[in-house]
Parts: sequence; C-alpha cells; structure tokens
Amino acid sequence: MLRKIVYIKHTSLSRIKAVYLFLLQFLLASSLSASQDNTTIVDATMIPLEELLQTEYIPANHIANQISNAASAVSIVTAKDIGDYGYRTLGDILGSMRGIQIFHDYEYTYIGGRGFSAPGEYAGRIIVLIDGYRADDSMYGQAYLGNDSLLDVSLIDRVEYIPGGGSSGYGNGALLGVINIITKKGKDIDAVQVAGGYGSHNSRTKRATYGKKLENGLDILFSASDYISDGRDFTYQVNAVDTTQKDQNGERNQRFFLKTSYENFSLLAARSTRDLHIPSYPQDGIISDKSPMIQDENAFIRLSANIDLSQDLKLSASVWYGHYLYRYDDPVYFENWGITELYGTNARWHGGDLKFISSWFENHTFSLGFEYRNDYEWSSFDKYRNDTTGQIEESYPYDYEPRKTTSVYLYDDFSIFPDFNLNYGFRYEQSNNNGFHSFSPQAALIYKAFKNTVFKFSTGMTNRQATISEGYVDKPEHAQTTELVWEQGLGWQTELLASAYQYRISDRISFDTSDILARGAEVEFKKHWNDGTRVHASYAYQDAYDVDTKLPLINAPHDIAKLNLSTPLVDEKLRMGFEMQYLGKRVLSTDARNTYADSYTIANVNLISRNAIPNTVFSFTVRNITDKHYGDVIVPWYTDEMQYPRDGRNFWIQLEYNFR
Amino acid sequence: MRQILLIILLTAGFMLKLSAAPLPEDTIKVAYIYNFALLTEWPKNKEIKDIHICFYERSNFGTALDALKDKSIEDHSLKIQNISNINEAKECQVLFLDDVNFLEEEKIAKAVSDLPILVVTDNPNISDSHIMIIRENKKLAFDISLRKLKDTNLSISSRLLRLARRVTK
Repeated sequence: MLRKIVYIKHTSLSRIKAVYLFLLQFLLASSLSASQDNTTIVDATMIPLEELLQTEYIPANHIANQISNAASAVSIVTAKDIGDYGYRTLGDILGSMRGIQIFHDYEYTYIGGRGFSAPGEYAGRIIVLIDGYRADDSMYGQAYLGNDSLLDVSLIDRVEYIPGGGSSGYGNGALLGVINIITKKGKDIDAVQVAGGYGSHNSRTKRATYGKKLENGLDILFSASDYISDGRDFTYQVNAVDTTQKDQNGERNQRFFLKTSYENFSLLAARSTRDLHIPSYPQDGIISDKSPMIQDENAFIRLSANIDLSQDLKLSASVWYGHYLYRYDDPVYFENWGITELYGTNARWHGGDLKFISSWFENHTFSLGFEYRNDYEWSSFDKYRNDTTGQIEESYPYDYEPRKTTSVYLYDDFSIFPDFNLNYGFRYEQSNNNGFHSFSPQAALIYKAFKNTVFKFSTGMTNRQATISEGYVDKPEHAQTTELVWEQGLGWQTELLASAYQYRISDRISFDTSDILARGAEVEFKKHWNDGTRVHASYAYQDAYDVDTKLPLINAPHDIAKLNLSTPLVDEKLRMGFEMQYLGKRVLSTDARNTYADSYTIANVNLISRNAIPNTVFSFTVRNITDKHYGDVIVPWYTDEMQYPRDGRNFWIQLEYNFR
Repeated sequence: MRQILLIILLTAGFMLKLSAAPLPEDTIKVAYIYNFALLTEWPKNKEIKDIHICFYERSNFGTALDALKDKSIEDHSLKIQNISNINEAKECQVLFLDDVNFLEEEKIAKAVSDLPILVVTDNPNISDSHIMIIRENKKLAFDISLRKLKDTNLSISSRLLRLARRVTK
C-alpha cells in the first residue's frame, strides 16, 4: 500500500515538474530574446502629417486589455486569436484559456474550471453574455459552447472569461463565472463576406455576412451560416465484442445573426438550430441501425439604448425576448414495439432592465440597476408514435408554473486614494412563486502598488436559483469566493499574472449535498514581440473535494497547462498558430472515486494567410496533430462506459473572400 | 545616357518605394501626437514652460516613444510623462489614453474635460476625447471634436482641422 502511495506521489510530482520545466523554458527563451526586441526606431515626426496620413501602417502587436470591470483574473481571446489559432467553436476559444477545461459527452460541450468540472456541474453555474444579453437557456441553465451555440465565431470580436462569483454584477446564476462575448460591428467587417470550409468526417460549412457602417451613421451586420457533418464512427464493447457504429453521428446547424445600431440605440437578434444524431445508444448498450436525434434551438432579440441624461448621469436600458426549444426523437429504445418516442421541452422568456450610472459624487461611480424577468412558458411533452400508422398513441403534456423574477443591484467604484480603489455592491433578487429570494454582496480592493504592479483582492457571496428542470427548490445554492490576483508588467508587452483562490459551495442543488471546497493557484505569462510573435503560457493547480467525505471531485484535474504561440512566417501574409494543452488525470464517475482518466497533452496547429491574395483569407487547421487517443469523463448509465472518446487527428480548411 | 536613365528610374523607384513603405502603427501614432501638439495653441494667460505629453501607465507604445526624446516645439521642450491618476493628469498639456485600463482612463478623460489639456485616444470606447485616431483602409485617420474642445480654451490650427477625417461641431 505504502509503495503505491509513494509511486503515485512520485509520478504526479514529476508530471508537475515537467509542466514547470515546459513553462520555464518559455520564460527563459522570452526573457533572453527580450533584449533583442528593439526593432529600429523610426522617427516619423520628421515626415509631414499629410504624408503620414497616406502611409499604410503595420498593425501593432499589443496584449489585449480587459474591458469588463471585474477584479478577478480575466482571460481574453480576441478575433485575431480566433483566426490565428483556427478556433471554430466557443469551446475551442475557452479551451485556450488559463485553468479552463472543455469536455464533451455525446450531446453537448461543457466547461470546467477551478475544481468544478463534474459532468453537468457547470450547467446553471456559469452564464454567457452576448453584448450584455444573458444567453444561457432558462430550462436547464446551460451555456451552449459547441455547434449548438448562438454565434458563429467569425462574428466574435472578443471573449472575456471572468472567473469568480459575478452575481452582483451579472445576476443569479453567475456562481462560478461569466463568459462575456462582445460581437463585431458592421464597420469591423466593412464588406460582403462569403466563406466556406471543409474538414474531417465530411464536415462542411457555408457563411455569408454583410457588414457596413452607412453614411447616415447606421451600422448593420447580418450573417447567415450553416454547418453539416457526417460525424464520427464510434466503437463500443457489446458483450465483450467490439461493435462499430457508422454514420450515426450526423450533425447540422443553421445560424442567423443581426446587429444594427443607430446613435444611442441598438438591436441584436440571433437564432441557432442544431440537429444531432447520437451514435447508436451508447449509454444504454442498445445497438441499432437507427439513431436518436436531438434538436436544440436557441433564439433571442434585444433592443437597447444608452442615453446620457446629464453630464454625470448615464442610463442604459433594454428589453428582450428569448426562447429555447429542445426535441428528442427516439426510434431506437422502443424499436421492438414499433414505437418512436418524441420528447421535448419549450422555454420562453422576456424581460427588461434599467441601469443608471452616476458620477455625481467625487471619487465615486455608482451603478443602480433594476431587472425584471418573466419566464412565462416552461412546458414539456412526451409522445409515443406508432411507426407503422404514424399516429400518436400516447401523449403526456406538462406545463410548469411560470416564474417572475425581479432584482435590484447597487454598485460603487470608490477611489479612496489615487492608487487604491474599493469596489463594493450587492444584488437582491426574488421570485414570485417559489419563495426564492437571495442577497449577494461583493467587495474588491484594487491596489496599484507600483507603476507596473497591481494587486486585487476580492470576496463575495453569490447565489443560484434552481432551474425549473431541477424542480421547485426555494433555497438558493450559494458560493463563497475569495481571490487574490497579482498582475506584474515586465517591460514592453510582457505580463505576468498570478492568482490564488478559494471557493466554497453550499446548499447544493444536486444529488450530492455535501459542501464543495476548491482551492487553487494559477500563473500566466504573456509576451508579444514587435515582429508579431505572441506567446501565452499558463499553469493552473487546483484541489477540490467534498467537505463531508473528503473525496476528490469527479473530473477535476489537479493540473492544467496551456501554451499558445503565434508567429508570422512570411511577413503578415502567412502566420502559424501552435497550441498545446495538458490536462492532468481526473477522477472517473464512480462512488469510490479511486479510478482515473489518463492525463493527456494535445497539440493543434493552424496556418492562416491573410491578403496574400487581396481580400482573401485562407486557413488550414490540424487539431490533435499527434493523433492522441484520449477521453472525457462521463456519467455511465447502463453500460460501463466511463469516458467519451475524443476525436483523433482532424483537419479543417477554410476560405473567406471579401467583396469591397 | 542609358545608364543615367537607369539611375533615374532606380532612384525614382526607390523614392516611390520609400514614400509607400508602411510604418509600424505605434510609430505613426507617436508622430501624430507630436503633430497634434505642434498644431495646437494653449491659452496665453497660463505660462507653460515645458509641454508635457502624458501616457497612461505602461502605455502600449514602448520604444516608439523614443522618437519624442529631446524634441521641442518652439521654445518649449517636450517631456514624456507616465501618469496613473487624475491629479497627475492635470499637469499635462497633451494626454494620450489607450486601452491599458480603459475604465480608469475614461474617468481621467472626464475629470480633465474642461481643462486646457488636449486629450487624444485610439480607443473608441473613450467618449471624452478631443482627437480620436482611427484605423481606416490600412491607414490611420483622425477625428476632431470641436464641441468638446470648446470648454478647454485650446485652439487647433486650421491645417489640422483640414486633415481630419471628420470634425464634429
């Protein structure tokens, strides 16, 4: 026994060492070459201004700075990164960020981080904002990150991930973090764009986008796209015999997006549908030549206004409507009876919000907000159809009681001294029919110790109301979060970030009711060079367990390391993006929690050519270049399958043309 | 004769290439800022010794700023300053704000909006600037807001106004 423990410790230590060495190399390499960074300084002040106006510029290579007002360690991915690394889903984008793990099952893509990664754990515990609109569905509280997400990534200007409790600022449910997406404007596209892509598993995509800022000031962006894939083949063990399921994983999505703004007003609308065939019936061990299909539809429309009421008072207001529809069409389970099951849920909601921002008092910026949300439809149906006659033989419709939620929040950004800021505030929220009410206070200190050194300390309590799929629970789940962040500038376009945190979740709405405790530390290094090369490297250590049983949490690795490198090969005409992601071993979904999914390292590479042929962008991506076999932890149902096998080496080519 | 022609052609080609050669974005922006200072007049009633050109904290420019070293405009020498708060900002003649910490920078822009400080930015999110530098068609253009300049008692030369992409009154 003792031998075993020693062995385990030894391997995990050497693994950590390997990760450190890996990062250290880059730190060393970059600090060495920092001295060679001085490209020849051109004094352009001698050139007449008239001539400068006609001079083309070589885009600067700056590290992106956060837009959101958050005191935690924010991660940012910009449109440039999306192109340079060949990201195709929101999951790809988030997967490149410090301390985040992206995992899949046969249906959806999930996000985990800071110790909370059990399959399903993050549904309802993280929220997605698209230009300020809360885009997770109200039935399951899920954030859609794969081909089911609302946005084509080509429309994204930047994604900021704000870890930590964000309830005061962003609302109920931002228990563990907020994904803040900012979309492009018409003027950022300034063309009619057509794009097409093709890749592994006979996957193909088409997109047409129009974006323009007109002379009268109206900015328009409209986009339509689709994606079709034959999907992968999956092999299962049925009675100890390998059985391969072919052509049962087809996927198809369609997306529409509209954004217009005129003076103080803007309108945003998006719709996404996805049909996905689930290969065979893996979790039930039923093999059929048919396959069940799930369909997800997400849509919303939002009208918003930003008005300066006076020099010191701003108002932003919005009204919105959204829906999420889910269908499940299952000809497999009752195949022998000649019956198909059709199951579905509908969720529809609307609401509005008002937010006043005042700078009436010196050194204070107050934000006072009100929000009203009406989840006016939650319904489900379960129908059984006779496959021969096509008749519905049995039907079980069900309507849940709708819910109205109102909230009020107050925030103050108080500049105590020029280099010392205190942010504090709270959010109070209540619902009309389930006795839910919650109070979420939050405070943060931001101290600029030196010119290049910032310390941030934040603490808060955030709450989450049970989604309707979890039933009528009046007591909110809550998280107490504390985080310390150190940001250090190390010269031109060179930054180091370190953070340490503790999360405790109590009153869990889950089968497990034990509190969860998670502690961890993260470090991230970024450097950009004048020649256009960028390096981002990060390492996160985390430790999370059930407080009652002291057992480790399912699917929560101790170590996550990432490396991203993007460099021009031929001027800016051809650029290579390379990334490596390491994920430590994770506990499988068993009661004893003593078996593990293997750790893995995967690498992706992307080549992108911008304007080598005028107005044309061409890219070629290979993901999982070493063809690594690895899996994500899933909840086993009837069979003993514990992991979802991830895709091997796969490629993608894409071509975009801009009519200007 | 042929040789002379060739030399002329080569020189012309070289000149053409020179004038068309693209420059780093930061280099052009720093030169713009220099020209903005050159073409702005500060109120006569307040005695200015040096012209302080200020940047918020670790500005993005890095070594590109070296072009402003040891420069002067008329008999005022240029002083490059890194500022991090409103009080320091009040001592500037030209203030450049970017996106290093735009929420802070926006506050500073608001706080100095009625002082004789020329506020320049390349961050479209900062609404209280006088001159905004914009990327357009692979070139850098700039917009001037005369409306916001009104309270500052600064006067901008007509040459600068003429070169602006857009002037809001």
